[in-house]
Amino acid sequence: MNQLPDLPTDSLLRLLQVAIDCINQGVLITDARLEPPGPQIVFVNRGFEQMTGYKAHEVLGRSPRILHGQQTEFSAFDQLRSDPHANAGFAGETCLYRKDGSEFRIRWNVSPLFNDGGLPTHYMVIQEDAISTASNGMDRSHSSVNSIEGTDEAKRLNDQISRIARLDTLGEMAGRLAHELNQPLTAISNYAQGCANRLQAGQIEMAELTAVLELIRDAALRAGTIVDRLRNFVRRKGPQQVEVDLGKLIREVLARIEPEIRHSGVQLELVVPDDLPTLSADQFQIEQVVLNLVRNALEAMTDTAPEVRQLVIRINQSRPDMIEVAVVDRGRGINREAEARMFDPFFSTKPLGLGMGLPISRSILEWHGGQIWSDRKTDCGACFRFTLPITHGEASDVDDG
Amino acid sequence: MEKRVMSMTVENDTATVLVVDDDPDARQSLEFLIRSVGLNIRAYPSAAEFLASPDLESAGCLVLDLRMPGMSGLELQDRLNEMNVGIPIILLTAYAEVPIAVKAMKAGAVDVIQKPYSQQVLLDRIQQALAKDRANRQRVRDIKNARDKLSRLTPGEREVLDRLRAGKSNKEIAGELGLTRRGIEARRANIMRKLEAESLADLLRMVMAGDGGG
Repeated sequence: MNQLPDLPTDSLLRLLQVAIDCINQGVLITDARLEPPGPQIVFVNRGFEQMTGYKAHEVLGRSPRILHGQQTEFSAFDQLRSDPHANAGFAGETCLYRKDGSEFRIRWNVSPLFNDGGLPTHYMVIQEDAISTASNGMDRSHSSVNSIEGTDEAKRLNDQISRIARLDTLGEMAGRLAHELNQPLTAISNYAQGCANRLQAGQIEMAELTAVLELIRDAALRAGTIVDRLRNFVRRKGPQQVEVDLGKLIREVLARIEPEIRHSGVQLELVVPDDLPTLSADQFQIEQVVLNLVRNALEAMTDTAPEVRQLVIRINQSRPDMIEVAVVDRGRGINREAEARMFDPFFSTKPLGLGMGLPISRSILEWHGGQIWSDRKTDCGACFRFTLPITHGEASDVDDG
Repeated sequence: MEKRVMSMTVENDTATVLVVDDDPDARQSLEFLIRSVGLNIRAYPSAAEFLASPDLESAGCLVLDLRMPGMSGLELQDRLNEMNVGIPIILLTAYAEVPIAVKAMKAGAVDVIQKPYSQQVLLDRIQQALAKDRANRQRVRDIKNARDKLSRLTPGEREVLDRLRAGKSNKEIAGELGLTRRGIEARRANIMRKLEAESLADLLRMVMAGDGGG
């Protein structure tokens, strides 16, 4: 396996982008949703644009079905569907359709990209013009070499993607994510309330209602695309390091969401040692981590009997150079599958969850030199712990090299 | 009295919620939401397009996204202030922008609503802003009306009016102006007729409105 060059994340990303654009083949990456409405395109390279006539922005967030038509051969997909965990992926030939409707034959190679837990998160499709390879004298051998390289390339890309995803999801991205996601989410609630108003007044036709529901669905899908796109967001500015009193920080976060806590009927206990030292950290980012853990805990306890809804946050100096924070709830706990995947981007057990909270938290803590994990020892509920090293002063260089 | 009720109804019907937002989803969904409660709405994708539109003169209220490429919501607000366009403004903002929102409030925005917002809250604030615009416009009309009427008075009548405002009796005014009480009464009757006032209180209210506009 090739080693990644030791570069700052943004340079590395730019390098990879250029490299992928230089490949003479079309590269298309979709997410791994197999249930309806099926996978969505999250990335295409320049080769894909040239081959299909679609610009990247026209296809991102859409189904790869836009390329399919009468002559498209799906047997390869059946192979994939029958065993989505298969490592190998598949290769085959098929017919696709350009933006202008014209037909073209490609040889394609579909490889699943796996997360650390061994589950497919994305599919990478490498498309090669079948006609031009056929007219090339060494077509068969040439193309078989290519597909082996394609698979290797898929693995390498997968490694790179997981590494980059972990490095670049930081504070700015969280802010941007929130802002960008607000747009489709606001649209959804506007449409929904508008429908409710019209239904109440008894003045909406079935056709109009259907059209608005479709707009709602589209906005929801766009929200998903934003999350995907932002994975590749390149950080321009490092976190802002200040002296942070963790006890004070957590108290402030709790005060800010006091109405939420009160509404959830949860009894809260915060344990802070008297002589807790301050440490140097990005306040906003650590607030995000705490907020995220507390919200998760509150949501996990909605089914817990009111008298035992209890949330304990305990801070202690676990080592001379380390502060540990434990967030313990009495909620429904974490099942095995969720435990394996909860730090993966876009994995969520909540119906409306984005699956970004814990991955972002982990990125933030790792950037600070800390860690986050969940503790299985608790008999009921969940216990998340995170650590932060006791350091002082400005970080010398915020680029993660 | 009858007349005023009529004119208010007409204005209610033509009042328009004006939306300026660069995001097509936001525009389309706000149009649907705002129409669902029977209000008029027109949406513009940029501050520049709004500024170039005839809606600059429209009655209603303005719903602005704080963050827009080109001229931001805040800059648009400044421009409107410079141009003396007094339409009530509701600014939509995200959490991190609270300090800017404070600035907007100081510059006269009627409301700053943080995203994500409750649709009911937004609709309520829009109704409040429309009511405020209606009241503002009524006040402007009252002032203009009062000034028009005041301009019909002769200098002699004006002298009497000024003294009436100062709370003086007919007798005192007669003394000051060297006229008979009967002469003052005649001028006073003319003033009441010209200003279409029904009582002294009504008359004074109108005069104050006429002065109120500066």
